[in-house]
Amino acid sequence: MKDERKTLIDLGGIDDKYITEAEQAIASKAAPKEFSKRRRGRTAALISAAVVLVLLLTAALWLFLPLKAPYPDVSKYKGSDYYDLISAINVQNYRKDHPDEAIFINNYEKYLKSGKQKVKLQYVSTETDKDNSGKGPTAGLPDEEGQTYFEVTDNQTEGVIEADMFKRSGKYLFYLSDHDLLAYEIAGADTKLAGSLRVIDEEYIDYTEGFYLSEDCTKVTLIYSATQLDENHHKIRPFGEYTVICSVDVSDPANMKKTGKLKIEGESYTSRMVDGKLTLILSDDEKDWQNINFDDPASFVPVMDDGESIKCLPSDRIHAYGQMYYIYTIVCRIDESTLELEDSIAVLSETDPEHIYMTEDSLYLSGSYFDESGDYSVLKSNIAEISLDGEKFGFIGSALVDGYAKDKFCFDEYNGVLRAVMTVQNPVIVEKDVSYTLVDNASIYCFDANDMTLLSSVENFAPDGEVVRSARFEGKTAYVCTSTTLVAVDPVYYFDLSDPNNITSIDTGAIPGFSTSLISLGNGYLLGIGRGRNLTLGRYTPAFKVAIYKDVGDKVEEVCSYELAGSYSENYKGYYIDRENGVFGFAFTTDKWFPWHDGEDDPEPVEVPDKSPFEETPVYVLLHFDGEKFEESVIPLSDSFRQGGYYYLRATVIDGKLYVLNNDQILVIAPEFTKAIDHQRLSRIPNFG
Amino acid sequence: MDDNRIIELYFARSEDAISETAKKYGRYCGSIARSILFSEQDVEECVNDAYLAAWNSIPPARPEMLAAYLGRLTRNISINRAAKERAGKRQTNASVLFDEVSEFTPDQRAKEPIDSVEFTDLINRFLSGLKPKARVIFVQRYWHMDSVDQIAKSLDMSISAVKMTLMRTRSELAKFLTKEGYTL
Repeated sequence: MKDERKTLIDLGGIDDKYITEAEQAIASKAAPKEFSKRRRGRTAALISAAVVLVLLLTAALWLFLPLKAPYPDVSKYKGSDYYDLISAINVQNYRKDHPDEAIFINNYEKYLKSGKQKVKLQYVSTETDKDNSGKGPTAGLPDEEGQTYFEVTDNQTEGVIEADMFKRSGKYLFYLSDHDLLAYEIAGADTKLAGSLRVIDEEYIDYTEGFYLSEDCTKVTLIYSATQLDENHHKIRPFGEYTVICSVDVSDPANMKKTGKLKIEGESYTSRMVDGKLTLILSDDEKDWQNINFDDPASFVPVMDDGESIKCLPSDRIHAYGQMYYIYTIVCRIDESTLELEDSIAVLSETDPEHIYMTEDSLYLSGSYFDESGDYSVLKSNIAEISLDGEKFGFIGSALVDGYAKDKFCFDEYNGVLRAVMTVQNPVIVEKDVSYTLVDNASIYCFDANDMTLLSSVENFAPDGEVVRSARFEGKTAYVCTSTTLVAVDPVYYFDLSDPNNITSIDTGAIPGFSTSLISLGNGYLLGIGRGRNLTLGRYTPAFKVAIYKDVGDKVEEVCSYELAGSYSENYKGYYIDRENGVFGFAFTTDKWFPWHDGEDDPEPVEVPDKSPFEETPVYVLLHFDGEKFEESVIPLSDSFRQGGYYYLRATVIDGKLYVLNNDQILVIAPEFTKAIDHQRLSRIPNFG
Repeated sequence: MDDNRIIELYFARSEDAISETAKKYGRYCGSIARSILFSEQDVEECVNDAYLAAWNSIPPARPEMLAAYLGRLTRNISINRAAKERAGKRQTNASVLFDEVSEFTPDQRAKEPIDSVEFTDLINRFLSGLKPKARVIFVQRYWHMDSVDQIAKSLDMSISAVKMTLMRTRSELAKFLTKEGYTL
C-alpha cells in the first residue's frame, strides 16, 4: 500500500537551493551551463552551419593536402622519356635509404592511420623446384634420316618447348656437357661420339639454361649466363652479368660450328620456344640503385648489345609494379633462325620471378617476398601476366596473393582462367603484443587471365602445418598433394574447377608418403614421384616412392607403388617419362636399408638387419606400369657415372634400348636388362658403367 | 517589496503581509496549484489556504527564501486536495504525477513507519548526485509539478527527451531508495 500523496508532500522538503536552481532555469528559459542545447534562431543556425562547414573544409585541407616530399627533386628530368620511371625509382631509393622513416602522403596518413606493430618474424624458406610434369616424348613423323625431331623433354604445356641439356633427332643424341656440345650417333651397342664443339667460351659461367634443337634438326640454340669481371675482379657495368643466345649449325655433327651470338644484360632465368620464336626471361639485378645517374639511362634501364651497338630498352617497354623496386625481369622475343631481337619488355618489381609458367599466348611470372606492410611479416607472391600474342606483346596485369608457389606446376591456364596453388602462412599469436608464429596451409586461386582479377579461391584447405608438395592440373581438375615435413602423409586433394566461381574439392584421404611431382598419364591416372612415409628428421633414410593414382570419380586412390630406400634427384627433367608405354625411369643412389614404420615426431627405432642388400649403389630404375602393378628393372651404374650427381643425367629408350647420359658418359642398356627384375638379384647383375 | 520587508510585516502582524505576498507570489502560487488541481476554484482555494498557512507559521518561522516557503505550502495543500479528489475519482492534473511518484514511493506495509525527514534527506542526497539538467527536470516535475510539455518549453528540450530523463531519474531513485533499505 503506497501513499503517493505523502511522497509528494515529502518531496516538498527538497532543498531550497535546488528549487531556486529550477526557478532560475524556468525564469530565464535557458538551460544551465551543462545543457548542450540552446534555442537558436534561423540566422544563428545558418551562422553555425557556415562555421561548421568552414571548419570541416579546413580540417579536410589540412588532412589531405599532400605533404612536401622528403626525397630528392627530379623535376629537371621531366623532358626525359624515362621521367615516370625516374620518379618511381627516386622514391624507392629514398625508401630504401630510410627504411625506418615513415613517409606520409598527407596528415591523414600521419596522424589518423593506425601504426604498424612490428613483431618477431619466423622465417620460412621457399622451395624453388624446376621439376615439372608435362607432355611426354612423342614420336616424330618419318622424314629424311637424321632430320626427324623427337621430343625428349617432358614439357609442361603442349607446343611450348623447354630448353634442356639433351635433345635428339632420328640419328643423333645431342647433349651439353659443361662447355661442350656433344653429338652421339645412335647405334645401340655401337653408339659413338660423332662430334663435339666448345660452345661456351666465357670463363665465369653462372647458369646454363640448355638448348633447343630446331624442327629440322639442323640448328641448336644455346642459352647460358656469364659474368664479366674487371682486373680487380669486380663486375663491370653494364654487362657485368649477361645472357648469351648462341646458335650452332649441327647439320653435320662432325663439323658443328657457331653461326650467331646475341648478348643481353641480365641472367637467364628460363626460356621457351614456340614455332621458331624464342621467349627468353632474364633477371637483371645488376643496377647499382644507390649510385644511379639519371642523366645516363643505362644506369637504370636494361641494356642490350646486338653486336652493333648497346641500346637501352625504350621507356614504353618498361613497366613497374609492386611495392619496392629491386630487380628487372626482362622478357625478350627472339627469332630462332636469325637471333634478331624482335621485341622486349621489362617489369621492375621487388623480386625476381621464382617460377615462370608459359602458354603459347601468355607468360606468368610469380615471385614471392616478405610483406611487412601489415601487423605481421608474411610471404606473399606477385603474379604478373605478360601477353605474348603478336602485337599485344606486353604487360597485362598483376595480382598479389598470400603465400608462395612450390614450382611452375602450381600454375595452369585453362579457358581464360589462371589457376594457382600456393602454400600460405597464417599468423598465430604466441604471446599477445609480443610475438607470433606462422602456420602453413594451402590455398587455390582462380584469376581472370584477361586482367588478373581474382575470381574465386579456396583458402586453407589442408590441415594446419602442411605445405604444398606438388600440384597437377588436368583441364577442369586439379590435384594437390600436401604434407608436413615430419609426417610424410600424402593427401591428394581433388578440385573441380569447371566453374571457376564455385570451386569444389574432395579430400581423398591420407596416403603414406608425398609426391614432389605429379604427372598426368591420361585417362584419370596420375604418376606421383616423391618420398615414402619414413621421412623423419634424418634418422632414417628417406624412401623414394613412385605411385600410380587413379581418379575414381569422387576420390583419388592409389593403384600401386614402388619404394626404395635412397636418394634421388628432384630435377624433373632427369626423369624418363613415356606415357604411351607406361615406362618411367629414374637415377638413384641407394642407401643403407632400414625397414620402415609409421612416421611420428620421434619414432622408436626398429631392428636393423646385419646386412643390407646394397649400400650407396648408383642405379637406374625402370618401371613399367601394366595397368595394375609396376614391373621393375634396376640397372646398376658405375661410381664414375654418378659423379657430379644426377641433376644433368638424362635418359631415353630407343628401340628397346635404354640410353643414359651424364656429363661426358653415355650408357646403353640392352633390352634383356630392361626387363622386370627384383632388387635381390642386383648383386648378380654385371656392372655396365 | 523585497522578501525581508514582507517577512517583517508578518512579524509585525500587519495585514499588509498577505496583500504584499499575494501581489508578489500570487501568480507563482497559483501556477503551482494549477499544476496539480484541475478546477480553478480549487486552485483559488488552495492558494488562499497557503496564504493562511504562511500567516499562521510566520513567526516563528523566518524562511530564508520566501518563494520556496510559499511554494512549498501551496504545493502541499494542493497535493492534499488532489489526493482527496483522486480518492473521489475526480479528475486532477496530479493523477499522472501520482502514478509516476508511485515508482519510488515506499510501501507503507514496511515494518517501520516511514520517517518524512529521513526520506526527504535521502531525496536531497540523491538530488545532489544528479547532473543539473536531470535535477532541474526532476524538481520542476515533482516539486513545481509542471507538466512535461511546460518543462520541455522552458528548457528548450523535446518532450521525448524530458520524458526519457524523468523515467531514468525515477528508476535511479528507486534503486537508490532500495539500496537504502526501503521497500518499494
